Amino acid sequence: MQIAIASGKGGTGKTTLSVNLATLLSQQISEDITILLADMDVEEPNSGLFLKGELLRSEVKYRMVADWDEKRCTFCERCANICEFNAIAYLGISVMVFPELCHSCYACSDLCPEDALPMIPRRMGETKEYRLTDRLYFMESRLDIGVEQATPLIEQSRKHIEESSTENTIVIIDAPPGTSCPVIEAVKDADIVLLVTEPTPFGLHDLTLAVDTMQELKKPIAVVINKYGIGNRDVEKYCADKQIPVIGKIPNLKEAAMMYSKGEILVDSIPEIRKEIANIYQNIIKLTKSNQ
Amino acid sequence: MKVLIAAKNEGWDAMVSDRFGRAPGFSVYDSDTQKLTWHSNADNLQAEHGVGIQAAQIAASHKAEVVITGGNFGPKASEVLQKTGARLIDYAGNITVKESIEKYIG
Repeated sequence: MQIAIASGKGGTGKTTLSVNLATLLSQQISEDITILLADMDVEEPNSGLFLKGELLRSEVKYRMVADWDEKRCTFCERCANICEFNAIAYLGISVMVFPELCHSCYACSDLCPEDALPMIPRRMGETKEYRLTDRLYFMESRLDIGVEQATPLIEQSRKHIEESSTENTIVIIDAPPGTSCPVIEAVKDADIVLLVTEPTPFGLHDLTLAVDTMQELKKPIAVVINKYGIGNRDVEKYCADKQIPVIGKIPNLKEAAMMYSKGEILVDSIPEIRKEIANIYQNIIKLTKSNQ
Repeated sequence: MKVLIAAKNEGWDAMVSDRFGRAPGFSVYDSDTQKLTWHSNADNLQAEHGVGIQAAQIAASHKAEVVITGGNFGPKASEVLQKTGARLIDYAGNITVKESIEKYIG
């Protein structure tokens, strides 16, 4: 099973829920199951701040980009005209390829009559896998500084997860914020998407965007309200109107905020939150069963 | 010599655009004929990425020796334009196309 944890708005508690749900499950669930927490917010992965483990493997990730071979080029301009992403500048006496704009579609490379645009690997980041306990594994992908496109690294990370998991693995995805390509890529394999929000007008506004995105993707969704107790009841009203299940309300506790700021796990020391997160998991099970 | 000016509109009295890649269009001034021709940039205004490259390519296709904008050139546009050897004039000021030619070309 794969559970993705997303949100529209940033800072609502995706990582808090991800690391605490993963930790709790690894302590509670039956022995033949392992938990793999995967931080797919490759532009700023932060789940790792809360988890210490033994490094199992580290892999550099590349993607293919077009490269110009001056010796073969006959300056026909076809490549610049065909590129959908404006990644190629044709200057009559020269051709420039901007690898940061290249989307690895191979069109220029395949259609160049002179084979003057070979595809070459370009480093984009790293994926690391850790073992925290016999039951809890953690994977993190991190985009290199200055690399513009997050989606190709997330796509490769999805494949990495596929290789590292079995039917006895519960995969928890800590997704990037927002509603654009990186999130869509991160939740692709998810059986259910939990949308974490806060009960404020900002939280509600971005929740509606996230709900629209996930419904467009036809993903089963459920909402978790974090920092419950602040703001107003509009998020609950919205979910009731839209018939979206609210499967958890994590209370707004100063103690939780203090522990979070120190990089500590909440389920180990705040019983109220442990109970709520256990409850969230029970609700996920119910929902995924009824969806099948 | 040809001069390409990023402009908000067609004609001598249009203001110089402070955006280059996303300028509404480009006026190309030919110092030999002293004529001005207009090159709309409408296609690029819709593009998500790489408009600076496209705009610089337009300058290259006209063989512009001088390129003027009211703001600055983006990093990719500059990279392409430097390759063409054009003289780049940024922050030309809040002036018309005509004034920019008088001021910088004479």
